[in-house]
Amino acid sequence: MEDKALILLLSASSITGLFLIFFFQPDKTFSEKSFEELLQNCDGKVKVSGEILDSSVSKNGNYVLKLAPKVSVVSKKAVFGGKMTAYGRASFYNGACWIFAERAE
Amino acid sequence: MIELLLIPLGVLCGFALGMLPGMHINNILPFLAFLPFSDDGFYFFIISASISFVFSSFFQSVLVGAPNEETAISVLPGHRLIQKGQGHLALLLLIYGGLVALLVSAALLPLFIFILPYIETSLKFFVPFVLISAVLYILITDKNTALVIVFLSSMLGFLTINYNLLLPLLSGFFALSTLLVSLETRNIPVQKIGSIQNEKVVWPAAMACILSMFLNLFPAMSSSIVATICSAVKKMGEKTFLALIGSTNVSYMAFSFFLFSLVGKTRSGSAAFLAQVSTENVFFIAGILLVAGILSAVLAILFLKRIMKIYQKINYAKLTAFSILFLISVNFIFTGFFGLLVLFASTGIGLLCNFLGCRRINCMAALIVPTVWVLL
Repeated sequence: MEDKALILLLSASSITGLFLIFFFQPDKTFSEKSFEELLQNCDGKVKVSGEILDSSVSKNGNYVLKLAPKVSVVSKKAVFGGKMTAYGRASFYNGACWIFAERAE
Repeated sequence: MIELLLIPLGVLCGFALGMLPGMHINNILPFLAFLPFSDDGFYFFIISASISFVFSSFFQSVLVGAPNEETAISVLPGHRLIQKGQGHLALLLLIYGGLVALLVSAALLPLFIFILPYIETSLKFFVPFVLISAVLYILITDKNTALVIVFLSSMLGFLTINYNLLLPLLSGFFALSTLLVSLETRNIPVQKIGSIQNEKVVWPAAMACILSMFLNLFPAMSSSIVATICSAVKKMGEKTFLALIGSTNVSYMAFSFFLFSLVGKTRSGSAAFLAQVSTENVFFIAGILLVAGILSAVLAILFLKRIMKIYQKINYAKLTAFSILFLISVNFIFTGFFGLLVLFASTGIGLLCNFLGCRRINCMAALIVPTVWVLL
């Protein structure tokens, strides 16, 4: 009887866990934003495209690609060519909008 | 949600890691950064591997380094039960304690969210005093020789305070020294199959969760300190104490993830790793913890007898030698020659603990004393 109660409790808890994952999962959709929109609201998961104005490598080996005067993409992988599309999380820091790319093309 | 598959994968990886002597999830975290996962993928994998590691590490804590009968008095309750042939029961108590603590931690999450803004600010003033009290309590409840360990650990802590050398410090105190001592231990005696009957599991788990919730707010604390404080609050037998250890390990890990998600403070290596990835909703984290934790506990209970047999048959000396080499290599790769020096020094202090017959928890002075110094 105790075993049955434990199995029931564990099943209920696992289902609760799955519900929590489903309802509170991070937003999977990347909303396409222009540079102006990003400067007004630099938050959430975004898709941004543009020409690479400047590039550098940070101390920890990430590539920092400038797309607009106050919009930069931080990418773990190098991007070749003059244009790029980045998918990632936007965050406002030090007077500029930074996109931490999960994927960059 | 294909990334959900990373939960069983993380559970299996964490489980396998926890069974290797002397291994800790923090030892492999630097390698995980190279995995090609998305932000959410890292969350699924790291949280699952971390909680699974906690459950499977109970096996090495009881079955590895099991002493002979002459030294059994001065060691952990799990080792004492091994000598009585009650290793199966000891492991059941640890696992069930952890499982109940997981459920209680999840249930306490809404309360934690509610009280955190109040206690976080009001507790700041008390941090140095609580840390000093913790060190003093550990000292006075141990042998006089523990003062030597606290002194040496504190000195090492001061020497390394300006460098990020937690990996060699903790590997030496708790892993490498245990491995070296366990090299000369005897084989595990024949074990009886036990079952949890009168042993109390629920109240130690509840107590562990409540204390973990508060003590996670203090820097330089650990699950072993939480267990020591719990045992001071209420006297308990060695079987209840085992359930308490299982509970504190799981609840401390769970609340370290909750705390990181809510206020960005990192109290475990895994939370510090995730801090470099992104910050996600605390309920999302609780969901992963529940699913992965229950999966790990069920895995541990189902394969308990088989795993015990593996530990009895295995060529322990070879496995330990592999773990020692791995630990030294990881420390050298990520912290260089200076890290290696710190590793040898902390291993020496860990071994001294063993020779003097005092508890290893005294080595935590390496983190606590310099932290108090900085705060004051």
